Amino acid sequence: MPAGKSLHDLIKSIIEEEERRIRETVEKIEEEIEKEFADFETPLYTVNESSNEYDYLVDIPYLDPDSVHIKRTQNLIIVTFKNKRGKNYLLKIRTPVDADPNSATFYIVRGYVRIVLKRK
Amino acid sequence: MVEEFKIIEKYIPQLSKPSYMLIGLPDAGLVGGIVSEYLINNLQLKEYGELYSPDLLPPISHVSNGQVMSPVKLYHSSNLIVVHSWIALPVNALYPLAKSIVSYAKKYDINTIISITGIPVPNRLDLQELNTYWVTSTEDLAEELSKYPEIKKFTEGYVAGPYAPILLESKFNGIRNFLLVVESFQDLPDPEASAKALQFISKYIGIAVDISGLLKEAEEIRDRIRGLMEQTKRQMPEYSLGRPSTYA
Repeated sequence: MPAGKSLHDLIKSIIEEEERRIRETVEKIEEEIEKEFADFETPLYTVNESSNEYDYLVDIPYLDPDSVHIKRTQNLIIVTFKNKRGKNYLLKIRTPVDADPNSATFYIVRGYVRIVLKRK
Repeated sequence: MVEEFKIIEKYIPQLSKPSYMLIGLPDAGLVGGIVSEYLINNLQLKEYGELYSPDLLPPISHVSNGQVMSPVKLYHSSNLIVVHSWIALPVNALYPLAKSIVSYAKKYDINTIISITGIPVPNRLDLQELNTYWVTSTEDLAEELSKYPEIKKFTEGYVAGPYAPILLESKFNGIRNFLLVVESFQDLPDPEASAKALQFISKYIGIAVDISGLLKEAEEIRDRIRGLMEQTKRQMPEYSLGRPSTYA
């Protein structure tokens, strides 16, 4: 007797295919970033989670406050910084599944960079 | 049989009484390490010894003025010995190190061992005033510290990380040891928390230290010890199985 795919299997395979596609896209973007920002260092950072948001605190001593740039994509948030001594920094944040990447905003608080990502 | 650290001294320091031993090991916010390094530089402490163990230390040496040295070193002034580690310590080194430190303190008849650490708080950046707590190894020291209004008793909870075995080892050997715990970042260097600790330590020991200097150098310190913080950040989950280093 021929066995067709059940609806459950069909949906599962579509989801898996979509996840694979997203993973490959993110990896490709990350590879491109690695090449473009090869001489950038990763800064020290820490993450605090609350019920409303993800709060990334980045420590860049001698930060040039005008140098902070944030790029938002669906799955990755890329933040670049410079310090006043000419060092370049790059922070890649994989967007948590329940976070809204478009909400990513940054503030400079007492010499630290705070990046806030709202939960959906 | 647990391997202990070898202590190699260039000479025997002559200490006046009361004598203190301050321990600066990397953990939360590098609070203790920043204090000990600042004291070494600010009080121009004399480097006189090294702690060494080929079985317990990672294969890293400290280079100073072209000479290779152990990354865990001893410094002293007239009544203070400072034990300072320039690297994050692996978890299997912590008990042997505690045993070695406490037996060394006994040998020199040290009156009080002082340890300093951070207690990570999620809203650290929003805090203008950092709470400071104490934990002791002996009842008489607890009674003594209760008289200082600026520090509070750490009533219930756990201490994990390099200072926990030193406290226990001190307790079981009848040595006075207190751990000063300051609210801090977990995995960012926190010179402000260190300044808070130093304020109390300078009062307790009775030494004149320029605390404002530490705050002025804060940015330079954060820049300089970034690598040590990265090392420590990788090591810390081993100390506490995923829990913060000090928690109530």
